[in-house]
Amino acid sequence: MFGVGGWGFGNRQSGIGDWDRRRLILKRVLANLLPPSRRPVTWLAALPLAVFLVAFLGGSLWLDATNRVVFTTPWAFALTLAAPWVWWLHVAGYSGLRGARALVALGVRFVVLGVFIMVLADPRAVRTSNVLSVLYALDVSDSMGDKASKGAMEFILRTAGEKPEKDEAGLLVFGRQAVVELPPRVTFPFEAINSRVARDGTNIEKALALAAAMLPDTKQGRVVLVTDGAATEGNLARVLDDLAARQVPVDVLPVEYDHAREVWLEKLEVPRTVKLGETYEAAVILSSLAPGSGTLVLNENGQKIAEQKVSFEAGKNRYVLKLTLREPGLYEYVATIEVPPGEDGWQKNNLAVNHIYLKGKGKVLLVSDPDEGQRDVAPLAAALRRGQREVELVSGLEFPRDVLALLPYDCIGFVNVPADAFDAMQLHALHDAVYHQGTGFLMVGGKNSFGPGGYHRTPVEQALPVAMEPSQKKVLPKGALVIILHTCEFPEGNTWAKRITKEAIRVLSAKDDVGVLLFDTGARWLFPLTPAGEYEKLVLLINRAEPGDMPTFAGTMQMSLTALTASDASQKHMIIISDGDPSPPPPPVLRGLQANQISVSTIAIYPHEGIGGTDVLRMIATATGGRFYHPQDPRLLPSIFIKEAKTLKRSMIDNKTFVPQVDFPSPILKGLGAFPPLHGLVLTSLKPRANLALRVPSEEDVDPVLAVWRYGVGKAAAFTSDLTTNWGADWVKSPLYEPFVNQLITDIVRATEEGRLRLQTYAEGSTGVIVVEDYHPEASFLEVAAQVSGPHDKSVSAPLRQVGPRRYQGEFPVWGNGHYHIMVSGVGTGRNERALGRFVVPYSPEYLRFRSNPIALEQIARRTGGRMLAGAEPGKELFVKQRKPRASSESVVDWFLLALACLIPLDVAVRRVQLDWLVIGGWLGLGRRKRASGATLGALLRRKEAIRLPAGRRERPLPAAPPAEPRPVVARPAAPPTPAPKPAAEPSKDAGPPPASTTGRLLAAKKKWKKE
Amino acid sequence: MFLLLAGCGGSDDPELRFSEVRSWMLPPDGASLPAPRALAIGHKDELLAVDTAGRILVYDANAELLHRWRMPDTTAGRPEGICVLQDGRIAVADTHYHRVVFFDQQGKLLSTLGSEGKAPGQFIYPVALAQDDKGNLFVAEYGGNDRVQKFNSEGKFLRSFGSFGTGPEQFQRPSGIACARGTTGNGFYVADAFNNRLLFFWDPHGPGVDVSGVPLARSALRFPYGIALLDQGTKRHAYIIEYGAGRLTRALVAGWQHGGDTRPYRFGSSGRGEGQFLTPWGVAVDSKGRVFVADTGNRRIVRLTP
Repeated sequence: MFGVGGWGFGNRQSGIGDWDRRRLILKRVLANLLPPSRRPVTWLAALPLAVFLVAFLGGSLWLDATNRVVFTTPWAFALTLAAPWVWWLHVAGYSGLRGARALVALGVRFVVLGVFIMVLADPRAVRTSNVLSVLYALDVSDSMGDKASKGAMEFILRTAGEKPEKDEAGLLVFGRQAVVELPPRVTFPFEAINSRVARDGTNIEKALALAAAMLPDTKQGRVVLVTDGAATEGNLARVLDDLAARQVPVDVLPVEYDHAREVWLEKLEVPRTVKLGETYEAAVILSSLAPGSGTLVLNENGQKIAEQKVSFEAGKNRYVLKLTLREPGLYEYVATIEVPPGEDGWQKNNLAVNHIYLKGKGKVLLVSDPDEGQRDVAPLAAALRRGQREVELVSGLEFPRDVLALLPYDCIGFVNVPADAFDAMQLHALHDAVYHQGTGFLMVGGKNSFGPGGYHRTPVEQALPVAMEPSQKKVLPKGALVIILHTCEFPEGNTWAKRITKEAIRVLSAKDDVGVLLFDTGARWLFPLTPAGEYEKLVLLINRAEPGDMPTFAGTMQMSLTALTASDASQKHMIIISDGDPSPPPPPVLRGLQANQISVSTIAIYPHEGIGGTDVLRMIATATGGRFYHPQDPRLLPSIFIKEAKTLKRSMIDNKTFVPQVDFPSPILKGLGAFPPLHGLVLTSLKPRANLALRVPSEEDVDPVLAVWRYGVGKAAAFTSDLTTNWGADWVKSPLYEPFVNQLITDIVRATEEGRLRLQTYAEGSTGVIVVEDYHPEASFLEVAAQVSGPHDKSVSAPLRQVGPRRYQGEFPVWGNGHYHIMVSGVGTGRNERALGRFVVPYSPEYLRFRSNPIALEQIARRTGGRMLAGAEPGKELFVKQRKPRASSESVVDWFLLALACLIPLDVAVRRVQLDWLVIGGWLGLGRRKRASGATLGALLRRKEAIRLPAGRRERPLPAAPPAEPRPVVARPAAPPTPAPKPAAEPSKDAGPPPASTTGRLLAAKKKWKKE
Repeated sequence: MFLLLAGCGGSDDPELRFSEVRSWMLPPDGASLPAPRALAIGHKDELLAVDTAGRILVYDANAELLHRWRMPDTTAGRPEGICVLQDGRIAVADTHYHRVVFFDQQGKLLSTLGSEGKAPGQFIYPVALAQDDKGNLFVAEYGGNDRVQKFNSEGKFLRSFGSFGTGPEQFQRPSGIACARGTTGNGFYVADAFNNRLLFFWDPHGPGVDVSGVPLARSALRFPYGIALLDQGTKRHAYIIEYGAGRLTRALVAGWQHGGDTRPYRFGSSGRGEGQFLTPWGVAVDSKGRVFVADTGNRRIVRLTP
C-alpha cells in the first residue's frame, strides 16, 4: 500500500552537505507518503471521504451521546486524521482499481480504518436496568430473641412475596459474622435459615459490608436492615459512607425492646484452695434492675445441693451457700436464679458457673466398649488391682468430656473400645490430658481398636506411637464405600450431611475408595469412587455440596451399583441416609446388589409416620445384608457413620499366631523372660520417634506389638494385640501377665511432680483473664505463655507479662459462651512448668443488653438516605416505584476485533480477487461459453502490454483506457494455465534497451531518479 | 463469521412460545415460605393449589387469592395432589396420611376415602387424582405400592391398574394422572415419573400403552411429575411438567393420525431465573388454554398465556 521503493540512507557522496541530505530524505519520505496523483483529482472524488468522516464521527458521537456505546479511550479518534491519507492513496490511483469496484474498495478500507479506531477507543456497550435489588439483612443474634426473630422473618417473607415480578430479593443473616442465605434473585426460595453464624455478638458493619458487596452495581440496590441495633462489634462509619456513595439506601426496621425488669447472675465465687471433708462457702453475685424475689439453686456436677428463697434489691446482691467436698476430683457448680414469670427479660443470663478441683491419689481409668460390657477389660483391671493400683472402669459413653475432669487419673487405658463410642469433645479431652497434663495413655488392641476402631485421623491417633494406616509395603485388600445423601428434609440436614460424610471418610484407609451420590436437579456423583487418601480434596467438594430432595432411590442406587460392580475392591458397602419417602429401587437393582455382594446400610432420619416411612429403607437393608438405623437424634449420626465405614476395615485385623519378638530393650520388659504366643493383632505402622518394644517376628515388615513414646508432657503406649482370653489367652494364663501390665502402666503413668505455678482464670465481660503466681522458693524470671482452647474448636495463644513480683497476667477476647481451657507454661532457668485452668462463659454477652438502640439505627437510615420502617409497610412500599435506572457497561471490543478479523480478508479480496462471473454462471448452469474466460484473460494481457511503462523517465500516467471487455472477471485460481514468465533480463545500462521485466524497469527508474 | 454465528444451535425440539409469563409467590405461613406442589382448575377457571404448608389456596383468574384453608393434619407430611370433582367437591391426596380428603368449595371437610395399607381400597402415599366424565375417581400411589386405583362416585373400589416396576404396565411413582374421553372409549394418562414415560390405559380393559413413544421420543422426558390435557377438536395435547428437566413439554398425544405437528414443544429449563423452573411438581390448563405450573423449587406459581 505504501509503495516504498528503497530509502537510500547509505548515500555518502562527497560534496553534498548535511542540510541537503536531510532535505533529500524528507523529500523522499513525503514523496512516498503522499505520492503525486496519477490521474486528475476532482472535488467530487472527495465525496466518499466526506461521507465517511460525517458517518463515522457523527455515528460515534451519537452512540456516545445517546449512551448506547461509550469509548473509554476517545483519543484514539485522533487517528481519523489518517482517513484523508487513505483516501489520497486511493484517488491518486495507487490502488489500481476503477469504477464501482474502486468505490467498494475505498469503502471497505474506510470501514477497516473506522473499526480499527473503535477497537483502540475501547468501546463498551451500555445497558440500563430499572430492576430494584433488595437485600434483607436480618439480625439473628441472641439478643433478638425467638419472638422478635419470628416477627422479623414474617415481615421479610410478606414483603418479598409482594415484590414486583422483575425485581430481586435476597437475604443475609448476621450475628458476629454475616452470611448470605439467598443471593438477590427474581425468585425468593426461602426454606429456613440454614446458615450457621455465631449468634453471641452483633456486627452490623459486617452485615452492611456484605450487603454492599452482594448488591450488583448494574441494578439499583436497597438494603432492608432488621435488627435491634445492639451492636457489640464493628465500626459503621466507613461502610455507611460506601453505601451512601453507591446510592444504596438502607431502610431500617428496628426491633425494639426495653427490659424494665431484668435479673441476672454475674458471678459464682468459690474458694481457690480446699481440703477434703471440710465445709466451704460459695458466693453468688446477683444483679437486678428492679427489686424482686426468686429461688436460688446450686447444682454440683448436675446434682442439686442447695436451694434458697431470696429477695433482692435493685443493683448487686450477694448470697452465700455451703459446700462440702467428700472425695477428690473435679466439681462443677452451676448457680441459677428462678424468678416468677414476667419479672425477668432474658432467661438465659440467669446462671453462673465455676469449679473446684481437689487433688487426690492418682488412679488408672480403663475404658471399655459400651456394646461389649467389661469382658475385655476385666483381666487387665484385676491384674492392676493386684499390683496395688486404684482402678476405675467406665464405658466410652461415661468418659469425661472435660480435660480437667481427667486430672484425677494418672493413666487412661482404651481397651478394645471404638472411636464411635466417643464424641469429638471426649477424644479432644483425652488428647489434651496426655499432651498438656502428662496423663499416661494406653490403647489395647482388639477388633474395635486402632484402625478398625475408627481412630484414623483423630486426636487419639496423634497421641499414639503408631499410625492407624499399616505399612505402605503391606498389600491389604481394599474396600469401596458409596454414600447416598438425602438429608435436606430435616433441620440443618445438609450441614449434618457434610459432617457425617467427612467423619465416615476420615475413618477409611488411604487406599479404600469412597464416592458420594446426591440428588439436586438429578442424581449425580458429588465425586465418584476416589481413594480416601485424597481426603483433603474430597472435603472441599463435600463442603460445597447442597443435596436436594431425592424423589427416588432408583437413579442413585443404580449409579452406585454400576460403580461398585466395576470396582476391584474386595469389600463393597453402601450407606443411605434419607427420610424414607423416595420411591424404592426397582427389583433389578436389588438383585444386582445381592449378586455382587454389596451390603447396604440405611439410616432413617425423621421419617414420615406409618409403614411407608421406614419400610423402603428397612427393606433395602434386609435384602442386601446391611443394617437399618432409626436414630431419634441427629447427634447420633456421626457414630453410626463411623461404625458403618469401619465395616470396610476388617482387613486390618491379622488373626495369626506368633511369638512376639523383643525389638528394643525397654523397662517394661525388664525381668520378663520368653513370652507366650499371641493369636492375632491389629496392623498398624510405627511412627518415626516411637520406641518399638515388641514386634511380630518378620524380616519384611515391622508390625508393632508394643510401642511407646513421649507425647507432649505425657507418655503413650500401643499394644496392638489384646490382653484378654481372645488373642492373649496364653498371656492371661501366664505368670508374666501381671508383672507385664504393671510394668507397662508404671512406665507410662504420670510422674507426680508438684507444680509451683498457681493459675487463676476468669471471664470479665468479653475478656478472659489469666493470672499466674509463681510459688517457687527461689525467685527467678519466667517466660510465661498461655494456650487457650474454647468453643467452636478454636484455640488462641495469649502472651503473659510480669505485672508484679512473681506475678504474671494476660488477657484474651472470649469468642462465645462455653468452656475455655487454659494451659500455661513457664520457662526459666532450669525450670519448665505447666499449669492448667478453666472457666465457663455461661451465656452470651448479648444477654447483658437490656434495650435496643434505635438511635444508632436512625443514624444508619439517615446517612444512607433510607427510611425507618414500622413493620406494617406493604411490599410495594419497600420496592419503591420511583427509581433511577442504573446504567452499566460491558466491553464489546471482542466483537469489534472479530469484525476487524473478517474485514481485513475482505479488504484484500476486494482488491486482489477477481470473480469470473461466467465461470460461476457455468457452475450454476447459467453460463453458455466457458471459453469466454480465456478470451477475457487474453484481453487483460493485451491491456497490460498497452499500458507498459516506457523505459525512459516515468511519466505521469494517462487515464486508463476502457477495458477491452465489458466485464474483466477472472477468478485467478480458476484461470487457465499460462506459460511461466521468463526470468528477468540482465541488468540494463542507462542507455541500454528497456528491461523486459517490471522489476528490472523499476530498478532502472530508481537508479536514474537517484542520479537526478 | 456468518457460519460461526449461525452455528450456535439449541435443542432439536421446537420451543413452546407464550405471549405472557407471569409468576407469583404463595403467601407466607408465619415465618416460612411454602412452595406449591399440585394445581387444579375449578369450574369457573379458578386455580387451586396445595402447598408444602398443607394449605389449599384458591386464586381467581387474575391470581388474586380468594380464600384458603388447611388440611386437618400435617404433622406426618403434606398433601401432594388435588382435583376438582364434577359435583364441585375438592379432592385432595393427603399423601402422608394415606387417604383422599374431600372438601366443599368453602373448605369444609366433607369426608375421607381409604386408609393406610396395600389392600384394594387402601393407600400408601396417594399422590395424584383424576375424575372421568362418569364420575369415577382414579387415585395413583407410590412408595413401593405403585398403582392406580379406580373408585366409583360413591367411593367404592372398582379395580386396580399396574404395579411397581419398569415393565409395560408398571410404574415408578405415577405422579400425574389425567382422564380422557375418546371416540373408541375412555382411558387415562399416567405420568410415570421415574420410568420417564407417559402411559395410556384403556378403561376398563387396559392394557397400558407407552404413548411417550408415539409421538414423543422415549428419552424426551425427565421425571414427568404432572400432566394436564387440552382437547382441541380431534387433537389432544398433553402438557407435561418435568421435575428432572425443569421444563414444560407440550405433546400431541391423540389425533396425530389426522395430521398435525407431532414434535414435542418445550418451554423452560432448570434454574432460578425468569422462564426457568426448579423441580416443578404440578401443571394445570384452564379453559382459555392458559397453563399454570407449580414451580416448587422456586416457590412460585407461573402462569403462561399462549
